[in-house]
Amino acid sequence: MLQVLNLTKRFGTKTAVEDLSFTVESGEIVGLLGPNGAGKTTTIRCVASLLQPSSGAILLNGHDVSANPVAAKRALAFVPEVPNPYEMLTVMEHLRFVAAAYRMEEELVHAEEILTRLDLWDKRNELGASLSKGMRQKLACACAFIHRAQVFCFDEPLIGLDPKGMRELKGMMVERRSQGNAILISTHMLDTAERLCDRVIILNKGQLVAQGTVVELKERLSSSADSSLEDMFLELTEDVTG
Amino acid sequence: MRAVALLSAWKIRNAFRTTFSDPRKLGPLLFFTICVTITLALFGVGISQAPSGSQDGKTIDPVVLRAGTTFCMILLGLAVIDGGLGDSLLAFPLPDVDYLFPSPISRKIVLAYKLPALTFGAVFFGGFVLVLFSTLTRFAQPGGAHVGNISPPSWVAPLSLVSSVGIYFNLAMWVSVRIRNRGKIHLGLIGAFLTFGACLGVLWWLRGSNAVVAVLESDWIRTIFKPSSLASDVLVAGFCHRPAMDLVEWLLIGYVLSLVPMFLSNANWYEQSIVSSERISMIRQAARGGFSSLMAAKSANFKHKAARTYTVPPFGQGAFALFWAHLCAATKRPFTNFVAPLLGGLALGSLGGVANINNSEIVGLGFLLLAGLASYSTMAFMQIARTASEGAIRRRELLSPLPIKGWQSVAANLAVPVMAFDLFCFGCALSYGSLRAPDARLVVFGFLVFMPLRTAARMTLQYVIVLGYPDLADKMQQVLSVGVYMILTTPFLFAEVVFCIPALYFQSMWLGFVTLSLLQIPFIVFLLFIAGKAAEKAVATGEPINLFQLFRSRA
Repeated sequence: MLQVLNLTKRFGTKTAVEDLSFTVESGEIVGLLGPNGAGKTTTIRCVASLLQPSSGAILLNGHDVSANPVAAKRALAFVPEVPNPYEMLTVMEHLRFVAAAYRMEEELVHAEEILTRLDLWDKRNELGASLSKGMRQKLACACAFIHRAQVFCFDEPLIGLDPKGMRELKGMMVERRSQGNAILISTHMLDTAERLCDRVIILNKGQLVAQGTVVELKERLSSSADSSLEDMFLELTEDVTG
Repeated sequence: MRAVALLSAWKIRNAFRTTFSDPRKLGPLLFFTICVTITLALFGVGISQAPSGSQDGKTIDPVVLRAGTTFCMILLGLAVIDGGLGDSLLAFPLPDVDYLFPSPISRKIVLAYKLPALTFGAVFFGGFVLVLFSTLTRFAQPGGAHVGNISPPSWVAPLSLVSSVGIYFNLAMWVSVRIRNRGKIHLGLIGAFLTFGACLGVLWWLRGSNAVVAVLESDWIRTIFKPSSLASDVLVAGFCHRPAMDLVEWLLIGYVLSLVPMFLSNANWYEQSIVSSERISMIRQAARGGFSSLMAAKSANFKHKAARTYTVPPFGQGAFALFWAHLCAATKRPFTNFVAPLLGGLALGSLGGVANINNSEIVGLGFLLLAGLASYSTMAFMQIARTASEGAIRRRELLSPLPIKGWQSVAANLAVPVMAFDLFCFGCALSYGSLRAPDARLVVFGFLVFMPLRTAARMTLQYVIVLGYPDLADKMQQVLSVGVYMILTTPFLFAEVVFCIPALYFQSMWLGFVTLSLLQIPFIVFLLFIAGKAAEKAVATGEPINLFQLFRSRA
């Protein structure tokens, strides 16, 4: 579904991501973890074709995002870290616009269900300008779920959501996984990642430090059985920085 | 394409709906519409009243006019390209970055979505130039031909200008899309432009205006800047007795051709656009936070070779610590906050002093210069103080828990703008006094005592008004606050006039300055008290301040 092959991204002389390779298979949720400045957002922006990789390739559903961005993006749903809605578009118009952009307007029949689950149905006719931070986050997630994407990329999707919103969003992700979608989530919430993700990828200073299931990481790090992902994360990232 | 069309249509429809359903948003729109209508009406009346038979240029040499017009059009074109090399053209609203860029829509369609904004920019610049040139030539040659007076048809001149500027906009957009690292080209263009201007200046100085006209009329300049020269030919067609339609046709062909490279490019310009969009968004946010924030945000765009550290240690307690924090922030921009006011003051004092010494036969020329320029400068410093006051409102939640009395926090918040103004006044006094110009002692007293006190009082009054209208996003509230400020200054002005009566009676400027200076002290104390009360109320409720309720005891 999603293949990242030897991705390197430089901004001038600074290397944000270096020689990163990983895959996210169908029916899998993968967590992208790392401290601030590790290169998570850069990686996700490269996947969404917002940034041009300095070298390497990214394949979305078999399409190279650099060579064939439109076909590649047709398979992708992307939720940015801090979504900025159109101030002069209503919630429903956001969904209609996204559905039209993906040429999947028939999917709008699910709009009521998605908006209801995210507590946005009552606000469907309100302008983007009037939405709170959490509502903006929910709107971006609703836009991601409205079309039949095969790959989902979420950049810190749970920040700003209320507990019910978090629960619904995680539930929707699990449903999509069971439908065979590939999901990549960048997050700092390690306990959530531990429970939600099938595998995790840990980045530090733009480099891949470790990847695998939590059990595999425990074995590799010779951690005790009751070690949490947080313990392993701190151990891994401190090793490199220290 | 359909999605982008829907997006545009919904945005426009909803913008109209909210504008016409909210009187606060309708006010500025009506004001803008009235201004534009009046300008266009005056322009139209001017054209219609121009005598059709007097197309012969009697006072303006057509060759010189064409060269001047070409030069201005070249400047306009270079300014547009310069904008393209910066952030302005490639900057999209952040919602576009979040929703439009990741969607499966071709980048060419996204560029087409940007095209109306470019065209609007071309119309705006073209219209501005046309009105300006027409007005200037009408003044220079009343009753004769003027720029833009082309007959028939009258739409030729605006169309030529829009096409010419539009060509530059499209080229600038193409440059933005194609070239990643535009910084060096940007610097090169600015260098070339300054060199070209300097060469023309030197040529003018050495060989006179005819040599400059000859350069601007030369084939190579006219070829390099073909859109500018064609547009200027159209504008001065009335003076040169030649038709303009064929020139406009060439400009329209050029405009269409300029779109081709822009839409043929397959470059992934989203990355540059995201950088520009985020930077412009940050600068806009900072602009709302005040002048200093804006300058800091702008300077963040430049890479400093060496890291600049600002290590002013914390100092003082209570309100003095707050003042010190403001001072530390101000020292991060030492030139803007301290050096520039001082240099400005030195320059103004020197100008006034030299004018008074050299033009002693023109009574009061230097004083007029000093008074006029100092008034303008004071307005600028008042604006800086206003943004500092607005900043204090934004930091209300941070500052309100601090155990500082209201009037003390007001004094601490205003201290730095007052200091900057005092430096300006000190510069004026120093340079004027050093030149030993006429009435030096009086002028020095005025700048060192009277003006700092009076401006401090006004800044404090402004602080109260800003606290009374705390919604900085509401333009109508901001306009109202300016009006209320002007109304509230009236009693203070009246008191100043009354206190000037003895000075007028004895015809003593010294007496006037001393009396007015002394009067400012109770003003400052009174206004600081009011502002302190207002600040405490603003901290407590976050609601607009009703001045009449300040002295009521809290329930």
